[in-house]
Amino acid sequence: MATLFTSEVVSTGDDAGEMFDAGIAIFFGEPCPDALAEVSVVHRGAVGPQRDPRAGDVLRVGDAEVTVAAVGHLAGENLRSLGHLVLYMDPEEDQKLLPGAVTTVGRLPRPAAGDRIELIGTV
Amino acid sequence: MGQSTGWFALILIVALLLSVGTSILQHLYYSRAAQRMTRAFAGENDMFLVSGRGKGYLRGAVVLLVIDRKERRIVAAEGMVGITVFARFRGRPEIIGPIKGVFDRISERKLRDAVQYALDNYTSILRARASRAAQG
Repeated sequence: MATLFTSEVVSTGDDAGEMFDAGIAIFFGEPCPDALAEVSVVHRGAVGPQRDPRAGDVLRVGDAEVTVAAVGHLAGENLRSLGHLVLYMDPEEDQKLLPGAVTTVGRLPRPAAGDRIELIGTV
Repeated sequence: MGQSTGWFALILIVALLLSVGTSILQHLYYSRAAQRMTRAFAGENDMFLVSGRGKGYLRGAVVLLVIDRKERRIVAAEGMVGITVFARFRGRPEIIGPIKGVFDRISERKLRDAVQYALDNYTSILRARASRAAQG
């Protein structure tokens, strides 16, 4: 197992809770405009990723973790260049995989400032 | 907003749109606005909350109206114009007032279309209620 990406949560937007409830988590690295931060988890101090996320990788945020199920073809580049990641957690079977999206098995709760974000490669 | 900041924000928005599209965010904003207006008029008699949308490639609009049936007045109105993640529901005081003549008070075409759609919904609701009352 190798840690591919680490960062730290700075803030969770007021509207992000409803997004988490709907099974969607949006991450952006700093700097992030206010209008996007309202619906996002903003993080700082990102290191990596050393490679694109893959099915089977584990994403840990605070004490919770989910397993990556599918990865859109732009997700790795978004994470590398913008710290941007969108998770569809336990999506419906007919959920279309958008180019920048990552689907997961399991759900994360809304994180708190100071939580550590880790992407761990298992394959 | 400086030019480089503006470009960076645009890059972030494009990345977001490629990841979640616009429908999820719009649904979130719509449900929050609907809850807000429902709370504001909870318990009032003869008030109807209706919505409508005006389609457009980049400048579509969605409105939520509270209509006082007895007075035939729009007593509250919120609208969201545009599809970007920066679009939000905002109060639309120009729409508030008598239903008659409402389109004279709105300058944006897509917003007019959305209000027309909402008023059509309102008419349908009143007809359905009248029909049910006649049957029973």
